[in-house]
Amino acid sequence: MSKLLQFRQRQLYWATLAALFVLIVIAGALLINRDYRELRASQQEIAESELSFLTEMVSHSLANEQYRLAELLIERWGEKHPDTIYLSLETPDGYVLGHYSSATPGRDRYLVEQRIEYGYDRFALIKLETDLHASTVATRRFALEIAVGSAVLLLLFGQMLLLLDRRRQQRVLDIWAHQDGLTGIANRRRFERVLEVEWRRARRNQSSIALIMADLDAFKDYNDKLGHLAGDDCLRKVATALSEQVSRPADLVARYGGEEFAVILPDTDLQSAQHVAEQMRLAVARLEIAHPKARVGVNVTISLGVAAMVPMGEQPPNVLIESADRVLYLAKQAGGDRFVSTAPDVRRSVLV
Amino acid sequence: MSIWRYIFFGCLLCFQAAQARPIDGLVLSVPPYLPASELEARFSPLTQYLTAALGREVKLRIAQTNQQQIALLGRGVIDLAYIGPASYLELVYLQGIHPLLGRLEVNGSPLFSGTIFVRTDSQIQALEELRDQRFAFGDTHTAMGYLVPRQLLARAGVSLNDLAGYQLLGGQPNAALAVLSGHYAAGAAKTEVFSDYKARGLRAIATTPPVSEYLFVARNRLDPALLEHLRTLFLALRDSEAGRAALQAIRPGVTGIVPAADSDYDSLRSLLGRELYRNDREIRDE
Repeated sequence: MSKLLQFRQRQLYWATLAALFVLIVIAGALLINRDYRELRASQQEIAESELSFLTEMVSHSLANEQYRLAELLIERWGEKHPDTIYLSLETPDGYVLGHYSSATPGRDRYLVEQRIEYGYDRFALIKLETDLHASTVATRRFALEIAVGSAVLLLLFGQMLLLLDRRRQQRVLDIWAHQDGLTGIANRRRFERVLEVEWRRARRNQSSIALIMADLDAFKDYNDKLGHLAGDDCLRKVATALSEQVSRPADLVARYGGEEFAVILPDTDLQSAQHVAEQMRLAVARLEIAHPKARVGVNVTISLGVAAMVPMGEQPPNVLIESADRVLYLAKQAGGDRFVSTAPDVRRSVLV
Repeated sequence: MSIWRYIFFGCLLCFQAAQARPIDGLVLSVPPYLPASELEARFSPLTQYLTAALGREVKLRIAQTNQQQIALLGRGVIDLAYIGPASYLELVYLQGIHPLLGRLEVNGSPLFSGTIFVRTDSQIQALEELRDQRFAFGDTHTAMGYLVPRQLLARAGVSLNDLAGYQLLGGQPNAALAVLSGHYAAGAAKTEVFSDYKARGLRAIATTPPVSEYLFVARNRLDPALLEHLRTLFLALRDSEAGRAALQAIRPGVTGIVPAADSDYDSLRSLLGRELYRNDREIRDE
């Protein structure tokens, strides 16, 4: 349950991060957009002041009846200012005294008009259609690119997060599927899978594989007397104690059922397995968990059945489980707090 | 000490003379009807072509005024002159006939005419109605900018004094634009210039009879063999790629140079009559 919570928290964390990222991108785009607007406004101002300079010169030419000079000024001005789309000098009734038009169509055009007064009752109009500077257009494109780029990145990022989350989820589910919820050691399913694998390996290598089945003595009485919570606690302690007795990576301690545990010891002969079983028994004894209805002594004890064999022919792994179960039963019969091992020859059981 | 001074100034004079007039070279003069840099650009291809063809340098010299050009040609300071028809008549009047090298042929014709025009929204239909109106002329010395239109007006019974006002505005395009601006009721210019501005809102009310185009003349006493060579060269300009480029540079539309005789300018001469020979001072005073 705590892992699930952790998982949800992590999701929330990533979602917040993504939202923050989006906010930053939007803020950046807005800032660039503002810059663009300012740039555009200042460019308009420049265009207007430049136009008033042109107006001054044209007005002077017209006042001196240098109409051709005014026409040339208009044409040259258009050629010198690449942003000019259209520039014309017209009389109030629409006769054109000079004009320039650019070959390239404008991208972001705006119109400025100025009235020229060049003598008593003499007027002309200058009409200028100008384009944005290339730099301004570039700024706008940059903003657009950032926005689009961020969106794409965000999508990719989101996809990646989803993928990672799914994998993490899978891993958690895997753990839940193979771990015993109460004790934290391997569960029955994991035990069966590992036994199957190790059994086949042993048969292939013709090596000995050992199995210890363990059962808490009089655990029903313990539960009845002290309650299920205490029983759970006892099981956890015993599981930990048993786990501490095996050190090789391939060894597996699993909860087999209610108060039954199973230990798989690959590449182990009967003698070594007996040794491990004895160590386990002692470890549980050392826990000194008080048992009010104990049949032997005053503490919780454990009975173990030890079996080891080299798999022959098409024997299933159940053969090993049955053997270990059988000797465990013998250990129980004998009063508990001991281990019983099968004979080196599987067909005989030896009481130790 | 003083002898060195004389030697120094002597050398300086020689140097300047050498600069002013290339030894064994020729000088082609053009009138100042456009800015000097523009004229330089228009006539350099021709001088380069002639230099290469003659094997001797042909220099371009832009005269300060039309009068100066006529005077220099008379004094033999310049050898060749590109000259307008009205200026040519003045040249002949002042200094007699000069050897002619050829006249321009523009779009297949060596003749050109002038137009008197008004704005499209004007009520004026005939020259007679120009009485008490303002009139825009071009340059004083140009046939179609001033001299011939003035004659046409006079024949229609409108002398300069009958006009409400007139102005010599310098260039012929300036006259066309002045009419467009609405401050002159009518104006005069070459038909070519009129055509350029017609679309903006001009309408012709009279056209002058055609007269001969601009021409190239040589100074008197030029070596006859060289003169003949020059004539051949000018007439053959249209036959080569470089020659055609040189012609096009002078003015767009120039297709060649054709033989010219003094009699080609008789029509203009009779058109202008005595008007041509009035002193310039008189015009300026008006």
